[in-house]
Amino acid sequence: MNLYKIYFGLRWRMISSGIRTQSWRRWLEIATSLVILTCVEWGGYLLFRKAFEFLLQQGEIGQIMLDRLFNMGWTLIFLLLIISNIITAFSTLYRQPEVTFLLSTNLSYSNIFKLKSNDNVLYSSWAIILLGLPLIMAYGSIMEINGWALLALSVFGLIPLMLIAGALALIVVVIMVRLSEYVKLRTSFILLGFSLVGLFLLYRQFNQAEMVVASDISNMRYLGRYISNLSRIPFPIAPGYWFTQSFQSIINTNWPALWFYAGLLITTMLVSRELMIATARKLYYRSWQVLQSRSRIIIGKKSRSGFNVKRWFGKPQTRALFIKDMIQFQRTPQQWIQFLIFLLMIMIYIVNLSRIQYGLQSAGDFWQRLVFILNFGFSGFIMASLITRFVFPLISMEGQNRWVLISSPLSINQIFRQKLILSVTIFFILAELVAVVSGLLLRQDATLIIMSSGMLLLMSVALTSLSLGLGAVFPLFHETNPMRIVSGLGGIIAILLSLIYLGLMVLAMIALYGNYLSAGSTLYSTCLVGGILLFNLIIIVLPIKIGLSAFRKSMFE
Amino acid sequence: MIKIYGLSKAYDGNPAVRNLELDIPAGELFGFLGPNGAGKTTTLKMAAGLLRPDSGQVLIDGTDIQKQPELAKQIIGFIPDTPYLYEKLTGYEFLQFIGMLYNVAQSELKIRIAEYQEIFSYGDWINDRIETYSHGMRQKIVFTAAFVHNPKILIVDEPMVGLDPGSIRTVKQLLQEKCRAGMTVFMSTHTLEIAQEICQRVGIINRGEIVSIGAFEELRRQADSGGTLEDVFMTVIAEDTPQ
Repeated sequence: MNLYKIYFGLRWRMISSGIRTQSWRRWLEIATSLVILTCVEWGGYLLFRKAFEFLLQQGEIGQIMLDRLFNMGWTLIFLLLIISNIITAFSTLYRQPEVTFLLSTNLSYSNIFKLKSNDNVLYSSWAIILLGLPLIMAYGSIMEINGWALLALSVFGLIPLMLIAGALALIVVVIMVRLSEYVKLRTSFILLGFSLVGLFLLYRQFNQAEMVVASDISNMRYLGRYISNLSRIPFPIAPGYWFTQSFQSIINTNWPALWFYAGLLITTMLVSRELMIATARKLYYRSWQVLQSRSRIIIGKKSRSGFNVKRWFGKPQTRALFIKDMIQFQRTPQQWIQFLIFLLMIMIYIVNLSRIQYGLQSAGDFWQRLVFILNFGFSGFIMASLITRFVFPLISMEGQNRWVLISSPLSINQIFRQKLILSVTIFFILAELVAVVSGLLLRQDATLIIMSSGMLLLMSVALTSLSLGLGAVFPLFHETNPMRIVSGLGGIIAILLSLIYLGLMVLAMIALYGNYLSAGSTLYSTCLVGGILLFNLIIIVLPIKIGLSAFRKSMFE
Repeated sequence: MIKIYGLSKAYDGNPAVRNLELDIPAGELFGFLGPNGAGKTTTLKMAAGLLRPDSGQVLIDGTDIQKQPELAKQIIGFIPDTPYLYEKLTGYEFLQFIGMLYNVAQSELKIRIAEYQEIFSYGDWINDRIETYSHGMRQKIVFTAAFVHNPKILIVDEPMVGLDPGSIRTVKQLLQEKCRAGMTVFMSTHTLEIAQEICQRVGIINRGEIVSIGAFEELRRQADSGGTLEDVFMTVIAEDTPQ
């Protein structure tokens, strides 16, 4: 019997049995999350559509900007797919007990690799693709692409895109694990990171479109040079570019180009899959053995243990929980690598802000206001993504070890409180840094910096309590991979609610900022601030209360 | 030291423990036996405050574990049947973590860890990450973790699984010594020879109810059997199980 038939048959039976045994509460949760998901997809579509409409109103340059934006969006999504695949691959290919079981059967390891690689692509891609869908819908509708053509392009374009990203990521992972016999995995990762940053800097150095500032637009010579530079689309050899070019070929009814780009996508998918399978055939089993035979991971002398640090705050119990969480984070590459990626993105963003300020000095009020709001929204978006990614899994990650905490003389409140304080402290510091540094780089006045710092402070606390609370309501105690915990139903609900909350806070900021600029009434400002505080108080207290009650219940199940 | 009154627990309507009554005095090593699914682990978890009973009460040295869990747990050491531990910590770090949770002074903690390091003959592996440990190594760490705060009560589920013969002997001696020093041990096991050898009293649970309880000789009389604890166990279970 065909191996895929057996494996997927088994998966299907597990899913259908899972569906049959769901409680009404679970069905309600699924229905709610579907409604929220639809709302967010629709909201994303409307947002992108508005932005695209605005760009198209800017004349010829608007169309170029729109195409470039669409292209950059998909190049970024392709990169995210690769990163996400790399991160989940360690667990899917090497750590899952199922792999050990399958390798103990008479299945060939290359077949096991094929099965698990499909799992990996699916797990790591679906959430990212979901985020990209509103972009496609908005672009398709604004460019008046036929609905069926849009659907066909999306399906036949996205599958190769996911598979190419998955194949490239798995090749990298298998080679790195195989090399870990000679070079530490951490060193390999750092070298890979540096190489990628180096390549990016080189690309930026030699292929950067010249910057144009608002006052130069009157000079047609500069503008012409800028527009000609724009035609040098970033990463023309990236599949994200081919994907977007397929859309543009349909818009321009350029059928040869469509076949060319679609062909490029499909052949690259086939070649990369073959390359991945060939790499796996040569290296996977050996690399799995290499990882298994690393029987000792020596940390060092007892005196170096984090638990020996004496000058610490708080009670020993709280201290113990803090130190335990920090050590676990530091020793879980999936955690710190992603955290570093986020930090790197923030750094790139801040470095880029320093370039924007030259243009802003000569730009009109509208642009200055827009940049202020966009900066606030982007800072909030980074916070929401970071907090959901790292705070939501905290409760689930206590997992099977929770007997240690429940059998100790710690109260449930103490455990929950420690996680809240730790997360709020880290993300509050980060939020304030982003707010103050970006404010200074944009040369905002002190009032505006205080305003955005205050709002980000509230947001860091509210978003943390939202993620922690929902993490306790939707725990996945049997899952050890934080990425999978956050990609589950609860994680999706958490990110969606965080984004809705962010949207409301951006609207509140627009109102507050508008009143400040027009020197509006103090009473209005006071009422607005009061409303914002009350709203945030609810967002902070409610999830904690619900989460605490769910946490108490789940800990004793 | 451990008093259990009318303890019941059901999972999705299926009763696991029914109206269980038990009294274990201080310094006793009490063995809890029963076939798979009889309700042993559920009872132990409720006694340790890890599960909330549907009804009934567990008193730990006079303290209701449901009403004052922190106070009751301060004097309990718990060893689960499957030792899931924090994989990314080293064995030594895990023991330090447990010591801090129970408020054991650092200097005292070092002495106690060193003491158990000698008893269980830890090698250098105590400074390796737990994720690299065998089942036996984990079991040794869990035993040490249960003892580092000098508990008055030890609740232990299947203590010998994964241990080598030398360690089994060490554990048996350690439990007996601790009981002589006043510690109360509530232990479930499938290893009937060990129960017969070290337990002062034994309780046999079947389908959520205690069907026989007493010292080994009493059990033999109750079951009208002259054989080993294994023979007594088989007779009691066979009598209680509907044909």
